[in-house]
Amino acid sequence: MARKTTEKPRRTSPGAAAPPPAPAALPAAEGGIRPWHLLMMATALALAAGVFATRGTSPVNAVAIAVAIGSVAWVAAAVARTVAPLVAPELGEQTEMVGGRTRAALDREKFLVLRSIKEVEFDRAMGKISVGDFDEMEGRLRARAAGLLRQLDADRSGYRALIERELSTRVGRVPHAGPPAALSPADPVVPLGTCPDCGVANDADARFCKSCGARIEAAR
Amino acid sequence: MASLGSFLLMATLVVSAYAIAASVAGARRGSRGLVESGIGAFYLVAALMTAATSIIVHAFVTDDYSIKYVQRYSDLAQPLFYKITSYWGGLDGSIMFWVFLLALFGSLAVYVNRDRHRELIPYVVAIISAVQMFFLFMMIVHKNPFETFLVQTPTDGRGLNPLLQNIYMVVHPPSLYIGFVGMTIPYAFGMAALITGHLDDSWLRAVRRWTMVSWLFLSLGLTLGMIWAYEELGWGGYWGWDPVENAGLLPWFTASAFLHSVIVQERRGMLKVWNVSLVIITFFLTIFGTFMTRSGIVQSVHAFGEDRTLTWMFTVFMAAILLFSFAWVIKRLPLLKPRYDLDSWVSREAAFVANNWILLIAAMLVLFGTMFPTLSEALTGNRLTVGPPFFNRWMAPIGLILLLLTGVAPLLAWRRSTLANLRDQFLWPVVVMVAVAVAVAALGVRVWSAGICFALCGFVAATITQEFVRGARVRKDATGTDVLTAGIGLVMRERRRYGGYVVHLGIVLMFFGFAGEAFKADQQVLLRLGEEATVRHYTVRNTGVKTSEDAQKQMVTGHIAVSEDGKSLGTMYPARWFYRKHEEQPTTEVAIRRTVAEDLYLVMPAYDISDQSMSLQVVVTPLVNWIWAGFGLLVLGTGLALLPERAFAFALSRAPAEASLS
Repeated sequence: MARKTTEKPRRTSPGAAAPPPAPAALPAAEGGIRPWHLLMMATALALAAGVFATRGTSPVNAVAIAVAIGSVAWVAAAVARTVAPLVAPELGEQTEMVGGRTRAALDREKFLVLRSIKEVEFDRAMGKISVGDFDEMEGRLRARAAGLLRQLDADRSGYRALIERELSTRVGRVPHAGPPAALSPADPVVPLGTCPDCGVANDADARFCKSCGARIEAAR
Repeated sequence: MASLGSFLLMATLVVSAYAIAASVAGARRGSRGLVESGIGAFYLVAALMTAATSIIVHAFVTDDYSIKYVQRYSDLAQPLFYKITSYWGGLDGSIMFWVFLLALFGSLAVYVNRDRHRELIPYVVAIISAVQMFFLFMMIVHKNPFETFLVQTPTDGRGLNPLLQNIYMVVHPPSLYIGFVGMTIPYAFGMAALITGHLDDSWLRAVRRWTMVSWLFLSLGLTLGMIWAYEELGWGGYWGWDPVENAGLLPWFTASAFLHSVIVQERRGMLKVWNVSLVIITFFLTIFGTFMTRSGIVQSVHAFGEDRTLTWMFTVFMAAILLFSFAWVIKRLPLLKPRYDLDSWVSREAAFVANNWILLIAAMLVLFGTMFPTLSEALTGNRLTVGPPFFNRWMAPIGLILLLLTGVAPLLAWRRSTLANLRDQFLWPVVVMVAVAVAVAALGVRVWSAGICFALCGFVAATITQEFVRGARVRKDATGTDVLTAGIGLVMRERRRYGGYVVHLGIVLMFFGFAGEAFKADQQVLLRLGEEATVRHYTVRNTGVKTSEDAQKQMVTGHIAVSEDGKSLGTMYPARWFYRKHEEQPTTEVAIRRTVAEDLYLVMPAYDISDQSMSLQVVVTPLVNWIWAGFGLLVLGTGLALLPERAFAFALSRAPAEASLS
């Protein structure tokens, strides 16, 4: 039952059940004409005019003109890209910083350390590393991986809040104005890899939970 | 149109300046808006350069001879294809093309890394923009490709140099430029890491792929240059140690060194200062190479002519690069401490260090040899030149040592190798090497350098084969699949390593081809009509000299009947082409008969139509095609190493335990 009430305001026509700000925000974001639509139309018109103007000359000429017009459109888009951040209200930092690094960087680092461990193991199997060195190297890499995992997990709460804040601004919903159930853990859209038992977020391809050890795949 | 072009260049200069100011200010004040605006301005530079490029290409295809540059490098009779490529046929346009490519490449790099390396991006933008500004400034004040004729517009152009009207020459400069320009990106990331102090390995990961791409294009450019020299210049060889060739080779050496030493930093946290320095030096050498070919300080077949102003501009710029870069390196030295020291000289790290030193020595030697004429002129007043013999004498042993290291390094263990481990790893490769050496000696090869080269080729090939076989066996045991799947999975999982081995295999083939140079036959003969001459097992007979012409040129073609050991091989047609716009500079059209073992290469340097006689240069170049084949493998290997993470996932996954039982 709870599921239905959370789904409804999104799917059905905005009006009765939804909170007042939503209907005003949604159509503007989804249905209106955006500046880039105008740019595309202008480019298409200019292309047509350019090709028309080069009638009678060689087709090479028409192609060259078309390329020139295309590049001018690109220039216009880039100008907009340059000016927009200056006139828009100053954005808050959107990605979370964990220990001075972006979360994405840490995730990538973790992925690479894990791969390095595999490489070292492979080298060992190939007889390229002596046992002692292998233990030392692998120990160091494992320690580093564990440190990274801890670092990533420690900031999970902040990350979650950030996602929710961003989600609410994107969807156009005033924070906490919508039904509170929308963001509760019972939300049907759980990220891939979330443990069914304890709710800890794991990697998307994880088969077991890193916190409680429960099988994740079985839940899917 | 021309004034619009000039305006666009100036606008690009201003926008670049803005990009620097906005991104540096944004980074220092922590303002997202400013940084984003700087990135936008950076994309804008790429857009503006594309617009400017489309204008000049349009001028070329529509034969707009009011623009001096177009008039000088194009003419009405030129095929459309060469009209477009004339864009980079001259100095001014090639600088513009350079900025265009840099803007595109830079934008792509920033776009791809904008989230992953957010802390570095503002400085990356600033540094690439600064490099762009230098070239834009040079174009605007000194070498504007959009300069027009003030009074009379000529009705026809002078035409592109006929030597450059060749398919290889169309692809060769852009690929060299992409290689050169691409090296700016690792430099920008390296400097950004130095400036921000984020000196962990993350910047290396951001740039390794870019370095590989640039390195690939540099290799492609060099190889195409070799093919061009071989087929178009008609002197029977492919590499003449010409300053312009050397200019491309210098950053190739240092970039190769970087691609190797980066592995050591990732694995062992060593060589940090060295890696940053290599990136800086590589970038410096690309600028230096451009300077050498553009300013005319060295003489070459394809330099653009002397130019004092350009020399000054480049000198100031290069000094600024060195000062700025190494000042930051020194400032950040405390952050660049190695995690470990070298444990033993019999280890993989040590082999990498040796490889780096040798590559660097090779670069310095080539640099010295190239600059020697200029230096000697500055010091003594006499221009002394060192020719190919100097380079060949020094580079042959260096090449052989490098080849040896190519085989040795993969066999050594990280950190230190034990005796047992050495015996286990080296047994088969050494056996193969000795076998090849004995076989070569038995076949009667008495050229030392070539014999050693063949033996080493055998050694390296055996090393690589052993690595593949043992790796596949390990993986087969670990995953429980068949050998073939294990092999594919192995290559795909350890893509960088095995891609690298494939590249090494390509290098082996190239060296195999280089060694063939020792057995070359080169003979010049004078043949009257009907006369014949024999070189090695080939017999050539003059059957006549004929002339013909088309819209662009007059062609004089020699008809040569060729036979091998008495068996006829048909007719070959070496020729001389006289382009109307450049009659004083006829091109040599070589006739080549290719086989796996050797090429028969005919050039007709002189002829007499009245009595149908000709002088004919007959060259037999053994094994030369192996060089091109080796390059093919090199491309394949680099491509493997560059594949994205998830390709060929089917062979990567571990087979479920049940699968092997059923």
